[in-house]
Amino acid sequence: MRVPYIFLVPSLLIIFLALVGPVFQSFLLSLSEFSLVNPSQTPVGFQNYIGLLSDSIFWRAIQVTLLLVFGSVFIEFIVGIFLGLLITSSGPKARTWFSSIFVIPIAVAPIVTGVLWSPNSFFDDLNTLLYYGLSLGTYIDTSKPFTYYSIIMLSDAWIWAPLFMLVTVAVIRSIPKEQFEAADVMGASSFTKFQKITFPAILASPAIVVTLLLRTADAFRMFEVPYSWNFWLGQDAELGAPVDTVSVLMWKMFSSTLYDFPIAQITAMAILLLVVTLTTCALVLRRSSSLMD
Amino acid sequence: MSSVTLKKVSKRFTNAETDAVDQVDLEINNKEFLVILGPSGSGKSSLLRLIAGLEETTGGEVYFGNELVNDVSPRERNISMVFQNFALFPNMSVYDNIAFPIRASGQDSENLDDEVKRIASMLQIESLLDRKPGELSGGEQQRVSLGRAIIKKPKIFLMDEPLSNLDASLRAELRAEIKKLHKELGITFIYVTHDQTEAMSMADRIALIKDGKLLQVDKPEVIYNTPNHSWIGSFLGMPAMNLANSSDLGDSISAKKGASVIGIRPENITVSSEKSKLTGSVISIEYLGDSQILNVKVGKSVMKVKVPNDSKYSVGADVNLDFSDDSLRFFSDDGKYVK
Repeated sequence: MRVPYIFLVPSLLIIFLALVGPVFQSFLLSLSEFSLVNPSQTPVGFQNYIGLLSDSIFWRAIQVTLLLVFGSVFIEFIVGIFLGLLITSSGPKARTWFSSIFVIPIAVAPIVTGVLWSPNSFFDDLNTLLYYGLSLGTYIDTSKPFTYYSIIMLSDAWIWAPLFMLVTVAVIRSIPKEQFEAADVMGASSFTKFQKITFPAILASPAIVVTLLLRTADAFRMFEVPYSWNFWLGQDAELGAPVDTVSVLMWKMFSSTLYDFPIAQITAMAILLLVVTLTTCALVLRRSSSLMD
Repeated sequence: MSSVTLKKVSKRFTNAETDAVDQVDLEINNKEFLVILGPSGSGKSSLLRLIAGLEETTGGEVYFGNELVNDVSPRERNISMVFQNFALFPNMSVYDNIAFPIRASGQDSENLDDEVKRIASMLQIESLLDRKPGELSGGEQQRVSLGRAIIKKPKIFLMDEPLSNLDASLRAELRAEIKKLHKELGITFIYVTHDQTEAMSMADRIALIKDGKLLQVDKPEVIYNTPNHSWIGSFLGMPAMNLANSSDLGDSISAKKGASVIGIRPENITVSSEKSKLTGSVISIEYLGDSQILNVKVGKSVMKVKVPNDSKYSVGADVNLDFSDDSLRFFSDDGKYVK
């Protein structure tokens, strides 16, 4: 054995203990039956997975999660780029104001955002205003799936769009100004400059792709915003059956703990969530790196 | 007509204490190759950007032909520009980069394809048309950027240190090509550089600029031989003109009336075996390959003397320096040329 490899042993050991070990152990755990009610760990093979995959509520949760992940990441991406363009094209004073105001949502706790945007805090008042105050005779029906999915996506995008905005601003600043000057001299309009220089630079920027990946992976862990809606939408659902339509995977895992705390089953779910997240990120990376070329 | 006339043009940047360009009067003739030469920070690029319209003047007037263009935007000035860092669009192919000016100004025609290919072959980049700028070498990128500027058929061609980012051999090659291009296109070229070799070899006329002020505009040989300011003498030439106070050189040279500084170019001094006008001792020798430079201490000042590369001198030796009186140049206290 060559000497240099010996020096790798300590770090490999730590990586194994801290990273590979727990994942492997979780996987083993997910192949057994184990809960707080029944603490003896008995191997059951892929029983937990089969159970989950044949559970329509689980599939529903996966659908809802994917919908919300793609919806909100897409919205925050677009809105973030728009805000970034707004900031870079405004004057120095407006720029300072805009950037400090737009960044605020990042600092707001997601649960607060969820509550702020949820029906009982905001839409009740808005609807009262619309229906009675302005006598429009109409209101926003937050119990309609299209409406609440949109609002949940928007509220998540409200938190994270500033991140894309900051990255966009940095990317635009890094474009050599001679490119714009060359375009000016060559007779390009502002729109052509945006279309041919700014926008391709944003799309081709590794910083944007990394942000997109981070946000996609992170969005799978979306919990607080849907959570703050659950109790409201769940009113009509049977007590103890958190099967309402905004169950994201995280909520499903959380709510499964309510009775017998089926640890093994939850672990199986966590591993499936991991698989879904990694697959999605791989697809996003592939898609965006083909864009970069 | 694509002459350019600058009348008392000034530029002061916000928060700056002095003018980057200070009351420049300059006439650039139609079809001329004018090189704006100056050290870094002299305001030469600012001057070019004022002509391009990329900066707004803070004083004075810019005319293209007889038309006042102070308030005309760059895109309406009918100019093309080449930048030091090439400024190619990284996401477009070489082909699209070259076609950009035509497409951007909405003149897309059926001839575009032929035109791009003609220009590409003229610049010897036909084989690169499908590549992205990032895959090209610096020289190739600058060729593309030249192509992009040519296709527009501008009246005035502006270049801002186009060769400064390239290595020496490539520079020499492109210098000749740009000169050739000027002949072929038959339009006005305005070329900014800090490199005197570029200026000397390419220019019809050189405009020398220092601290935002225009010092001299003339043919290269006139500027080299009769600089109208002692600073120009010390800036041009490799090595530069020797400048010495006449009092330091003793009585052998009689300065003209009103002149206190005497200048002579190193190549105009010869070393003679007999007693001649000046005597000094060699304090160091620089070997340059094709020649040698002797640093000779004469009185209080050091004179550079250019001698053939096979001559043999040793440090510490006394040498006699000779020159013809015609090669002497005289300057006043404040650097002005004295006739």
